Parts: sequence; C-alpha cells; structure tokens
Amino acid sequence: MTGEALLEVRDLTRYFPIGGGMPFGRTAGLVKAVDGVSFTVQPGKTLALVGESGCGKTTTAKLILRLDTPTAGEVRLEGEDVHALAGPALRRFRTRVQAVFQDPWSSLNPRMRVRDLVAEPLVVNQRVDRREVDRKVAKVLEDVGLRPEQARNFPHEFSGGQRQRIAIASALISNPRLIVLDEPVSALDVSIRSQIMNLFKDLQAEYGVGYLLVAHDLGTTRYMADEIAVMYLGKVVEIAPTETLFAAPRHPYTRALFSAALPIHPDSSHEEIVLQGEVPSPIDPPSGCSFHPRCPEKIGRICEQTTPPLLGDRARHCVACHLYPQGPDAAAEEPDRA
Amino acid sequence: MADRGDLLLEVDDLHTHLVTKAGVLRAVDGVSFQLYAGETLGIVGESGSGKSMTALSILRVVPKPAARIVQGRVLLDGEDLLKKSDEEMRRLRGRDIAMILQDPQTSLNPVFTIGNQIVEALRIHGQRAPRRRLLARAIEVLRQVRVAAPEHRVKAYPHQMSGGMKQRVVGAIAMSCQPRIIIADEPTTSLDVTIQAQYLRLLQDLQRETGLAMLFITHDFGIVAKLCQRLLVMYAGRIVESGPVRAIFDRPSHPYTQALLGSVPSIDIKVARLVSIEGQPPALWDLPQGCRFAPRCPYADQRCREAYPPEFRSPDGDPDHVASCWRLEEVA
Repeated sequence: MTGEALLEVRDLTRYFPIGGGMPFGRTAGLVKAVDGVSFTVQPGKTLALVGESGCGKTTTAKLILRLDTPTAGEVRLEGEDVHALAGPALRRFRTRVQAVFQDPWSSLNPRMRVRDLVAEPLVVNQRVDRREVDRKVAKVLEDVGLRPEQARNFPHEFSGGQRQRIAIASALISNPRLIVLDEPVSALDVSIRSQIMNLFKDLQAEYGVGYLLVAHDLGTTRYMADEIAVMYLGKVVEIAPTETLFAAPRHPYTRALFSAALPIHPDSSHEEIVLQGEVPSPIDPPSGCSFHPRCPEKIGRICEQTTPPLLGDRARHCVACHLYPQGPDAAAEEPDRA
Repeated sequence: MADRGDLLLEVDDLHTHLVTKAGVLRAVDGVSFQLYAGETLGIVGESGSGKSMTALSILRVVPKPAARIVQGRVLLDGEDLLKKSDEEMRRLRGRDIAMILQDPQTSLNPVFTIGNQIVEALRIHGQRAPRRRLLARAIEVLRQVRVAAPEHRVKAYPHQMSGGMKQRVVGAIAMSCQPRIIIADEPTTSLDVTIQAQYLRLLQDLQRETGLAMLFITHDFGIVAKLCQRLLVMYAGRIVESGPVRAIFDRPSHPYTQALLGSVPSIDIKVARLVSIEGQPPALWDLPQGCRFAPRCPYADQRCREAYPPEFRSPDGDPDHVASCWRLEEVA
C-alpha cells in the first residue's frame, strides 16, 4: 500500500429526482446516477473510470470537481472533505484540482486570448502579479508543445489538437495535484490522439500530477491508466490495477466490454461475447445485480434478488459478482474459465 | 484474390472540389477504386481526408453549391452515374445504392413514426401497394435488422428509441429496397462499445444473408480489422495505400499507414509509448507540391517534396497491395 491517497471517494451517491411535471408535485422517481461508488487515486498515478454512456462516470467526475453535490458519501482530497470546504479553503481546492474536457471547441471561450484562458485559474484563485503570470504562461505553453508567442492568439486560430493543448496548459498552470480528464482524446483525430496521450504521460512524469481519467476506449485506458474501475449503472462492478484487469477480467460485464473492443489486427483472436439488449434505464434499475438481464453467466435467483457486494483485496482486485463469493482471486482456481 | 465477386462499382479518377472563400479545396483529388459483389471495402482516413466526400460523390449528394464533382467517372454496371439525369439518380439512390450515415438522430425524421418512414422509402421506389401491405413489409425489414417486437415498433417515433435501435431502423430503411451496395459512413461512431459490437455483427449477418457489397467509411482500424476484406487509406484527398486488409496490417507500406497503425493503443498488449505523428494534415487549399504527407514524414527527402509519388507495389509481393511512396521504388 502507498501512503496517503491523493483522492479518496467513499460511498459516493448521487440521485436525481424526476419531477412529475407539476409545480410542487411529488417526485415521480429517482435516477440513480451514482450509487455507492468508492475508490482512491494515489499521488502521481492515473485511475480510469470506464463504462458506457449512462453508467455514471461523468457524474462521478463532476462530484469530485465539486460541480455537483452528492446525495450521500464523501470525496476527500489529501484528507480534506471536498464538499465541506468554504471560503479560502475552497479557493485553494480550485487550484489543486483541474479538469480537461472532451471538446476543445466548446471548452475554450472564443473571445479570450490564449494568455487569458491559460492564466485564468491563477487570476481567479491566487494573487499573482502580471509579470509572474506572463512568465508562467510562457513556461506552461512550452511544456504542452506550443510557442510562447501564441499566447496572443485566439482559440479559433488553432486546430483541435492544439486547442486541447491550450486546455491542458490552463489545467496545469496552477500546479494542481489532480486533473480530471473527461474523454480527453475522443474528439480528436486518430493521428493527433497519440500526440496528446503521450503529452499527458510526459506531463505526469514532470509535474507528478494524479489523473482521474474518464474514458470509454479501452485501448486509451490501458495505455494511460495504472488502475481501472469498471462502472455499470452507477456502480463500480470491478476495480483492479490495469495489467491485472486486462490479464484476468472477472466480471461478466468487464469481459463483454473487453470482447466488444475492436481488434488491433484481423487475426487477433477475441472471445466473442455479444451482449443482448441495451443498458437498462437507471430510473428503475433491475433488482439484485443490475447486470443480470443481460448477463450471459447468470447463475440464478440470487442474481435477481441480491445485490452483489464489491469483494476482494482493495489494493489488488475487487469484483461485485455472485460468481466470485470469495472475491476475484479465490475463484481463479476454478478450472471452468474457458 | 481468386474468390473475388463480379465488379459492381468502379470509381475512376474522381475529383470533387469545394469552392470556399479560402479558395478551392481539392477535397477528393483523383480517387480510383473498384468495389466487388459481396465484399466489404473499408476507407480509413482522418477528418478532411476526403473519405466522406468520396461517398457523397458516388451518390451525387455533395453539399451544393459549394461542392462540385469536376472530373472522373463512377461506373455502376458500366454506366456512368455522373452522366445520369437527376431523376434517374433519384430512382437509383436507395434502390441500387443505399447509405447509412453517422448519426441516426439526424437521419430520421422526428415527427413521423418509423413505420411511416420505411413505407415512404418503399413508395418512392415504386412499390405500389396498399398501405397495409407496405407496413407488413416494414415489419419484415425491422425483423431483418433484429428489432425486437417490430409490430409495436412501427408505431413508435424516433425519440422513443435508443441510439442503437435508431441506427437499426436506419439500417432497415437502407435494406428496405434490397440494394446491391450499402455505403456506411461511420455508422457506429455515436454508439456505445457493446452496442457497436451488436451493430457490426448485424451488418456482417445481413451481408451474409443478402450478398450485398459494402463500402465502409471509418477512422477506426479496429472496425476495419473486424469487418473489411480490402482497405483504402486516404490522406488529404488521395488514396495513399490500398490492398487486402491482412496485407496492410501485416506490412503497412506507406509511412502514414505505419504511423497510424502504431498510434492506436491496443487492448491486447501494454505499450511503453505510442508512435505519434507530429504536425497536422495540410490545408486542402494549400496542398504541398509533392507528397502530401512529406511535411510530417520522417523519411521525406527532396524528391518527396517535389513530385507526387505514383503507386508502387508493396514489398510483401501481394499484387493487390500498393502504396504511393517513393521509398518503394527501389524495392519494386
């Protein structure tokens, strides 16, 4: 085990009430977007949240950024409860946690020059004089592979990959401890993606920043992440260090997700699991294990009635599935995994 | 390849230009290829490579007035589609060549039921029958694309369906008139991975059942590896490499293809560092004189910057595998 975690998320829950459409009306139901999620991010490391749309990965990211308030549970950054912060402590939090979003066309204000975009986290949250700002902007622009004189330009003068570099520069300038990366390369062209992914890795080595990566592409997560949490309908169904997970995925959903990932070569053999149906609505999620209606390995009534707990060694591999009542490692001895 | 079907569609030296304020963009700049019955031909390229514009040019649905097909031939059964009248083209679209677009949200009309939209496609293509009969046919094609409970679904509106289901409906409309060719332009980009797997499987099944040929446009080499038999790689308006998919994956011969294949992170192996292609594709209104990839190519020399390379055979010896790169000249 490492020392103190950079980020600790415990039993994080966010339900959205759905109104009946009437003023003062009662709520018609709850969307359980995030439902008791726990994980930690170590300093200078990357944890990836993977899952399909609607699994709650972006809501989780928002709760961590304090862009939304949890229904229950807590988020701790270096031991401090993020949602209890106020005043100067909150401003300090805003410099320590930053985000890079998917679409650099909508995340950059088109009326601001690059210098002001990049400097904004400093100007808003810290007192820094102009000359110091200019010096820092120049440094960080060079770090992300842009030229310092480009600080005078506007976002529309840049290509998609360069815009994402501007967004990254802005996230880095306040020297944060954690950056939330929400699908940071999916809007970019293939040949640009690898540039940006390599940049993220280089910056992590240089700045020692931790990443929470939200992504749906498994290739990206395998390349970037040290640890992966697989989410399905608001819950973490499996969590493990990247190589452990790719070597021995346990949960049937993880395995289906891996098998749905596209091959890298026409000859690469993949276990073919094509799931039936689609992700059910989180408004009224299935009882028991929420994956049971689509699960190819359902074992019986227990799957329909009892929610499987996330079992296993927190530092190594955890899985929430009735197939593994003793946790992911105990079941590995069973010979029937073909 | 010995087991190749009959020649269905031939595109010969196609040029499509876009007239804009910035100048004339040579979006498609001399593209030639053949599509054979029963095969799936992939076109990969990045945004702006001309892959979608090639597809739109085949059906003559390029965005007007900016786009103009200035040169070339598109031969279907030996007849040049570029010479046909608008009325003839209208009849041909959907009946001989159908298209599936990227976003099912925008390709379906939100105010009509999906049954209506399938029936409309059938009517346009001259099926004169009572509505009841056409609806029965609509149910049949929905069943063909594995939509559950199609009797109920014909009465549904697009907003009542998920993305994957809507894309199936779009597929059903494309299949409704039993075309010989389907052009699919990134049909799974807006779908989730497990839904994408379902959809690709469906396309494979449909192709096996009906023997139609497919032109599949994508930026994802994984889809190519899974679905296609032959591949065209496009860069800045031209085909830079083409050949059997396996040959290209085993021995990519153009530096661009090599770099692209190396830049995709794999889920099968852990790589220490991805290959990255520095720089960006050239602006289409200001193309370099020689090879268009030369400014980003690690091997480029003087000749690459001066003259565009012709097609050379790949050193792997496969006669169908060719690439436009001067470095292959000495090998050939």
